[in-house]
Amino acid sequence: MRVLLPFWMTRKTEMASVAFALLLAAACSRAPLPDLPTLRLDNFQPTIRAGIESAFQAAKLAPRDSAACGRLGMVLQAHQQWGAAEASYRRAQALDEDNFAWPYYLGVIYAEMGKPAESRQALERALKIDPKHLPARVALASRLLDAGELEAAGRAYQDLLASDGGNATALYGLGRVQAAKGQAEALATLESAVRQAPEFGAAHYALAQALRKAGREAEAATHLKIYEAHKLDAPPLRDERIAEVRALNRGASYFIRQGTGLESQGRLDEAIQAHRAALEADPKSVQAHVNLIQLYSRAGRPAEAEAAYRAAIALSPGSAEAHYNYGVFAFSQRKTAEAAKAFEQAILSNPQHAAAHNNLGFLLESQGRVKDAERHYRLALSNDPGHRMSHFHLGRLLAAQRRWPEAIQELKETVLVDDEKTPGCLYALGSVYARSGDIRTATELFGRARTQAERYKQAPLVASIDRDLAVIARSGARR
Amino acid sequence: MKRGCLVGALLLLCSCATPRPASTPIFEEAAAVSGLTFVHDPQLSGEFHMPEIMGAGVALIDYDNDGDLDVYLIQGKGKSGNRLFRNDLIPSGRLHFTDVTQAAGVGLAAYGMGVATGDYDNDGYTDLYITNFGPNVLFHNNGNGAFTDVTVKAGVGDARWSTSAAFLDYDRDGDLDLFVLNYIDFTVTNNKACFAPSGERDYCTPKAYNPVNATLYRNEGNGRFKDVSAASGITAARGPGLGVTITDANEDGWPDLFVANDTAANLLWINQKDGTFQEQGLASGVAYSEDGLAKAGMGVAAGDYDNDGDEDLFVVNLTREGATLFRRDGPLLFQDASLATGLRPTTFSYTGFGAGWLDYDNDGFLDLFIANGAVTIIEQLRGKPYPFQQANLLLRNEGGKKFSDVSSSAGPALQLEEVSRGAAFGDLDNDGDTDIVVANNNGPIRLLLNQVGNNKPSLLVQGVPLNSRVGLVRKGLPILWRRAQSAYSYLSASDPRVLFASGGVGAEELLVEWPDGYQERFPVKAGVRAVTLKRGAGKGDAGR
Repeated sequence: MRVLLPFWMTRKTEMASVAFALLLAAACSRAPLPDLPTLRLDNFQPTIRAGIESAFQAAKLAPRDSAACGRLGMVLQAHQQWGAAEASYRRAQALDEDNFAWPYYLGVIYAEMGKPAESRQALERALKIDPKHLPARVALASRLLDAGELEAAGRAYQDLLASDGGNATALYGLGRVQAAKGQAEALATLESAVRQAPEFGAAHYALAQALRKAGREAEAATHLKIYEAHKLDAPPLRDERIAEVRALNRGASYFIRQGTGLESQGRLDEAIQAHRAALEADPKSVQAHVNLIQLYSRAGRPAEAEAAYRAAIALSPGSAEAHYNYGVFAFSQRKTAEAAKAFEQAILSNPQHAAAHNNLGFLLESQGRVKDAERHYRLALSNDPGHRMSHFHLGRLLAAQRRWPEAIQELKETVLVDDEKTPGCLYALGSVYARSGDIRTATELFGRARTQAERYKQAPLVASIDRDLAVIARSGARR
Repeated sequence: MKRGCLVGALLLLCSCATPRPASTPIFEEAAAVSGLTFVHDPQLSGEFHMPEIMGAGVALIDYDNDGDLDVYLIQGKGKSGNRLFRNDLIPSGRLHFTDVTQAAGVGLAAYGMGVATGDYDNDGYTDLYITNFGPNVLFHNNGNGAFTDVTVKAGVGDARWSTSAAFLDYDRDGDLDLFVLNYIDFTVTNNKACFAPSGERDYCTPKAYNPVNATLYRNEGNGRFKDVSAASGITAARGPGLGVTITDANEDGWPDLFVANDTAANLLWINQKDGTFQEQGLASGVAYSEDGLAKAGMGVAAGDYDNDGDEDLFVVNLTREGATLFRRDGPLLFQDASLATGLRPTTFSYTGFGAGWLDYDNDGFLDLFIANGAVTIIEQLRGKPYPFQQANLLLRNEGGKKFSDVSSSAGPALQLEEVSRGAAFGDLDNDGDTDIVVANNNGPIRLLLNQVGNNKPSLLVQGVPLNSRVGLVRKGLPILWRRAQSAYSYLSASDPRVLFASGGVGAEELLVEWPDGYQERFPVKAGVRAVTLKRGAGKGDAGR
C-alpha cells in the first residue's frame, strides 16, 4: 500500500519520523509496572491477616523493591490467595527480570488457578534463568501434560531423562504421555518407573492400567495391590522454594494439618506444639481442642486432656468428636460412667456415629446390660456395615449366648482383611467353632491363626493357640 | 507518548474488530418467559451447614402422559416446598408451564436434595422418589393428576442424607427396584467449623465427616420395598456418594451401577445375576483417574461418545481436578481418556455437578453439558454475598476423538455465572432436539432451549422401559446405541425417551434390548420423526 506523505515531509523528515516511531513503539511495548494487589482481609484469621498486612506494608513502603513485592506474593501464596499473589509476583518480576523465584512462583500459582498456558509460559521463563532447576523442569512437564500438550510434555520428560535416566518421576510422566497417545511403549516406561521407585503408588496404578490394556490382568492386579498400599507415596522432590513459601503459613488449619501429620509419626510432643500454635492463631478452633483431648490422653497428661475437652464443648457443645474423644480418654482412665455418658452425648449429636455406638455397647456389656449392648453393636453396624470391632464384639456377645450361627456370621466379617488384628479374630472364630462342636473347622482356623500370629510376631497369642490345639489333640486321642 | 500508544491501540482494535456474522445462539434461556418461575432457597444459616451448598435437583417427567415433559423442582429448606410445573405444549402448541403443585399434592416441604423417576408399580404412570437431608419420600402417581405419599407403606423413607437415586430392575423380575445414594453423617448439631486457607469460615469438605453407605431396595411387587443393602453386598464398600447411573459394564445384559464418590474412589457395582453385586471399580479402571487420584466425583453420565457400541463413563469433579472420561475398551476394561480427548484441560477450572451426554447439534455424536458451581469461596468473588458462581460448559464432540469448548459461542445462556447443581435433559418443546433444565443453588431455575439441533432430522423412540438399550441400524454406518435412562447427572432425573440425532439418515431398523434381556427388531419407515415401540410387535430374539 502506498502511503501519501504530507507536503511538508521531506525525505529527511520521513527518516526522522520513522526513527521516532520506532522509539515510540519501543516505549509503548514496555508494559507498565503492575500494581500491588488490592486486598480484602476483613474476615481473615487475625494471625494470617497480620502476616499479609505486614508484608503488604513493606511492599508499599518500598514499591520498587522486587524482594518486598515478591515476599508479599509468597505470604499470599502460602494462604492460597492466588490472584493477589499473582499481582505481587508480576510486579516483582517486572522490577527484577533476572530473578528465578518470581516466574517460578508464578508458574506454580497459575497451575493452581487453572491457567496451564500462563503456567507454562512462566515456568519457561524461569527455566531460561535457571535451566537446571529440577522442580521447575518437572513442573513444566507436568503442566504440559495437564494442558493436553502431549508432544511437548513427552519432550520435556525426555529432556529430564537425558540428564537423569533413572528419574522415576520423569519415567512416570513419559509413561503417562505414551499411554494417553495409545503407545505400547508406555508399558516398558512405566515398568522402569516402578523399578526405580518400587513404592511409587501412582506409577504402579498407571502400570496396572497399561497391563490391563495389554491383557495381562494378573500382573495388573499385583500392581494395583501395591498401589493400594502406597497410594500417596512418590519419589521425594526437594523444593526449597516451595518449602520457603509453606513456612510462611500462619493459619490454624495449617498448624492442625501439621500436628496431625506429626501425630501419625508418633511425635506426640511436637504434635501438641503444633496444635497449641493452631490455638494461638485461632483460639476458637474447636478442631484443635478436639485433637488435643486425644493427644494429651496419649501423652499421659490427663488434666490437660480434660481441660481440652471442656474448652471444646464450651465452644461447640454439639461436637460429637469432642464427646467421643473424651469418652475414649475417660475409658482409658477407668472412668466408665463418664465414658458412657460421653459416648451417649456423641450419639446424641450424631446418631450415625458407629464408633460411639460400638464403645457404648462395650461399656453396657461390661455392666451386664447385654440387650442394650447388642442393640448398640447392631446400630454401629447399620451405620457402618464394615465396622470390624462391632462385628467382633457382637460375635463374642452372641457366642456367650450360645447363638453359634449368628456369632460365626459376625466373626467371619472380622477376618476378611489381613492385618495384625486378623490372627486374634481367626482365633476367636475358631474358638466359637470349637464350642459349637465343629472341631475340624476350629482346628483349621487355629492353624491359620497360629501361622499369622507368628508372621506378626504375636508370641502370647501363639502360646494360647498352642494350648488350645493341645487340648483338641488330647480330646481327639481320648475319643 | 500515551496518546501515541492510544492511537496505536485504537488502530489495532479496529483492524481486529471485524463484526462477526450474527448467528443463532445454540441455547436460549426461556424459563421465566415460559412460566417456569422458581428460585431455590437453601435458607443460609450463616453456620455453613453443608446441605446448603449441595442442592438441588430437577426431574423431567411426563406425569400426565400427555406427550410433553413436565418439570418437578426440588426446593431447599424453604417452606414453599418442591414444585411441579405442567407443560401445556400439548394441546396448546405453545411451550408454557403452569404450577400444579397443589393439585398434584407434591409440594413437599423438606430439606430437598434430589429426585428419581420410574413407574415402580407398572401402572403406566411415572412415580417420584424424593431424596432429602432427612427422610426421603415416595410419591405414587395416581394417574389422575395427583400423587399420594406412599413412603411408609413402601418402606423407603431412608432418614439419612440422601443424594442421587436410581430406579432399575436389577433382578429382572419385571418391576423397578430402587438404589439410593447417601452422602455423609453430617448433622446440624454436629456441624463442624471449617475454614478457607484465609482462615475465613467456609463449607467443609466431606472428609470432615464419615461416609454413609448406599441403600438398595428390592421391589416386592405389592407396593412394598425391602431393604436388601446388606444381602445384596452393596454395603461392602462405601463413600460419600453423589452421582449414580446405570450401565452394563461387563456386557452381560444385566444392569450394573456406577457411583461417583466425593473425594473417594468411584464404585462400579457389577450385577452377579443372583441378587448380589460385586464392587469392581479398581479392577476395571474407573475407581481413580489415570494419575491414581481419588477425585471429588459429583455428577455422572454413561453414553457411547465414540459410537463404538459400548457405554463410556463420564464424571465431573472439583476445580483443579478436571473431569474424567472413562472410555470403555471391552467388558470391564476402561481407560481414562480425559487427556487424549482434551477434556481435562477444558474442565480443569470448574467444579462440575450436573452432567449429561446430549447430541445438541444432532450430528450423531454425543456432546457434553456440565453444570458448574464452586463449593468453597472463589478468591476473585470474595466480598460477594454468595461467592461460588461459575459458568456452565457446553463441549462439542469432534467425531468421537476430541471435545472442544463451544460455550462462548453458545449464546448468552451459557455466559451466565451461577451456582449450578442439577441438570436434566429432554426435548421439552418436542421439536426434535435436546433441551436442558438447570437447577441453580440459591438461584433461579434455567431452561435452555436448543435452537440448532432440529436443523437436522432426528428420531424419537418411545415406549421402551427404563434402562432398555436401543440400537439404530443405519445403512453403511455402525449401529448407534443409546439407553433409555433417567438416572444420571446429579440429583436429577431426565427424559428416558431415546432421541436419535441424524436418525432419519439411512435408518433401517431399531434393535431393542429390553431390561430382561429379550431382544427385538423393529423396522423404521423413512422420514418418520417418532415411533412408539410395543414389546412383541417386532421380530424377537432370545436375547441374553
